[in-house]
Amino acid sequence: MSALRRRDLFRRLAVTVVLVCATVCSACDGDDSAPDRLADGSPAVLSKVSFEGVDVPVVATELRTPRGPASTPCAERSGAIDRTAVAGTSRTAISPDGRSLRACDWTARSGWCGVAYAQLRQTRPLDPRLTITCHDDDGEPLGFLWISPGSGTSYIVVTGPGYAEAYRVVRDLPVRVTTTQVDLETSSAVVETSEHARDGRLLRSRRVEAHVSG
Amino acid sequence: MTTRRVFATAFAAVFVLVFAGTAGGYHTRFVALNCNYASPTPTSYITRDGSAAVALRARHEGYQWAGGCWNDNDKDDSPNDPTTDAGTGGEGGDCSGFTFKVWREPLNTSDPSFHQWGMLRSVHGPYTAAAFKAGAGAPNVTASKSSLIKMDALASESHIGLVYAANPDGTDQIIEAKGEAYGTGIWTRTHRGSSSYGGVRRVGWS
Repeated sequence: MSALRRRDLFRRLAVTVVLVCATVCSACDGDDSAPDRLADGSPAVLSKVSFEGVDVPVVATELRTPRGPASTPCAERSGAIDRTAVAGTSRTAISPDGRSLRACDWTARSGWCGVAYAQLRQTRPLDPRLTITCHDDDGEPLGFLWISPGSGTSYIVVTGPGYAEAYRVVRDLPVRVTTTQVDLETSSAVVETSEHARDGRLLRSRRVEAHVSG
Repeated sequence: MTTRRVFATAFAAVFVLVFAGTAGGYHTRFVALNCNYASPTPTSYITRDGSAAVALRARHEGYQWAGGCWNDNDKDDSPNDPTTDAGTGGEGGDCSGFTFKVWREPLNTSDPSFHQWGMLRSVHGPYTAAAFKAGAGAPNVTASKSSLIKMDALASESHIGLVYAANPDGTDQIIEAKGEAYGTGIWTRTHRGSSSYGGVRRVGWS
């Protein structure tokens, strides 16, 4: 192989490497689309409801009754519901007398990793009962907390960096949401929430700051 | 001055006095005025007696929901704060914040090592009473209630206290951040006999 041909081959190879790198890096930099999987590996679906005031893609979280074998420490499943979001799943059960809530929080990385208990005043816990003992796929702390819906709310939307998650309200009960906006130093988390009617109309929005407590 | 203006001035003065009084009563700003965010000191080992000494310094101090900062003047510097309000910034820990500090745990739940926190360091830690009860975090394990000894804990889903001494009648002297109305101290409790309570132990000490 002549020196000229070798130099030409090398130049082509260099150009190819640069192009591949540029493609990969631009994909890393510019990708602010919604995740394509929920915490349990199921496909993440964008909500069909158009939520007023939410200008990022909105992932519809899953809501189902627990299935499969009961797992310690969340053995009791009567009347429980599982909510699966992008980063984690939480199981909430109301006591038979309707006076307290119990939750168990789960992530793919940590398994069952958080528990919460709340006494209810009417249908509301006294505080959001934040847990920060779970970790997401990247090993970062993940917060779980209850948001109490106001009157007429059908959906609670939690907006995070790049996308939002929509949680359907059931029987006006508090909704246990996840957040990556956790501050370990202050054992607290912040979530930007909005409450919407069935047709997506904005009813109210607020920033909830929750602290690990009690 | 017209009557209307006099009335408006009087109304404004009463409004200011009433709300200033309320804020002053609730918000002593203990944390803002006294506490710090200094890094903890890692330490290679701790003893149960050492933890008891840490706990005793908090005795007779206040209780603060979601709190974890106190001094050692044997009085509650923020009495009568509203309960279950993390924003009042008063003196004291709550039950789980107190336990976290006395057990000298790190903020990282995967790390079982020992961290010495200053008394005036404002820190609660990542665990609730329910999390402690479940043995959440690398530093904590559940233990049978019959095996509990000094400075192990009894935890329910809404409260946790540390065993200071066992009484002959089966009750225990529990050192705990009991509540806003009580502050932090030692009380005789029947937790060991209650089905709501389980045993919890800090790992790594003898």
